Amino acid sequence: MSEGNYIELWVNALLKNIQTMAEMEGNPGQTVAQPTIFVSRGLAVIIGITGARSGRIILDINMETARQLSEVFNGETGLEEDNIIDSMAEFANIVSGHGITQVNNLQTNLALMLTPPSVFRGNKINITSPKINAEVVEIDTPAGSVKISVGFEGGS
Amino acid sequence: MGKIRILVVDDSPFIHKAVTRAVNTTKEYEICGIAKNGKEGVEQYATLKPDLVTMDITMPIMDGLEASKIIIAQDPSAKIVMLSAMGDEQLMVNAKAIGIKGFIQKPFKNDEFIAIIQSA
Repeated sequence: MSEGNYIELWVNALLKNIQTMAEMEGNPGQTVAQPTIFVSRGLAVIIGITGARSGRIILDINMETARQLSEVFNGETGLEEDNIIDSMAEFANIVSGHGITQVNNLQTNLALMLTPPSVFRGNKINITSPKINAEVVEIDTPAGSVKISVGFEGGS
Repeated sequence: MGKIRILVVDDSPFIHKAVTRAVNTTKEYEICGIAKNGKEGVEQYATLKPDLVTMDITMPIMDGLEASKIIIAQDPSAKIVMLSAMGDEQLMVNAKAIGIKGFIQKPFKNDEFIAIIQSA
């Protein structure tokens, strides 16, 4: 495998966990290069990647989709915003963990690890990663779309 | 006979709830404490002396592998089960070398969780 962004591994992890945790099927769009500025749709979870290569993963979603997914994850309705944010942070952590597990098993010299998630909440927040070359995939689900962006320094 | 006491070390409130739901499916176990990072986990282990610990890996301040090393150095009989989304082969080797007794990959089903902590 090339030293790319491994975006397909994270997309697979996201699809698998949408299925496992939300019992929904996701439909991925095309992989596209991400502009330097990432504009969030309402709730962005950022998880850093450390080890032999440095990078970051962003899981981005609007609040209504986040609410619908969180209610399925928790098996309860009427969740407070804090519960929704906690649920999406852990969802992003799980997806990132599964993706990085696949990368580490393929490229054992990388020994990649993750940082704890950081959550950004607000309308049209711009996230700029000038040193990161990232790719992004949007996945449609019955609850709305989920966007995943993966990039490394020096990137693909 | 008393219940088996579990210390949950994880920075995610979502996982605190998920573990609580799993533990509440049995009468055999109870949660005796929740720590939000490895450092808190080490401190709570010393004071609570739980029968079993579920330990996340990626946490702020101190990660789960470092916390597990410290706990096992202080109490070689400590039963620690890793509870993480990560699970690559090298990580498993490192966890076993530290003395971690089991591994649960997130997300988990309640019966899978109980089966693994029972076998730890």
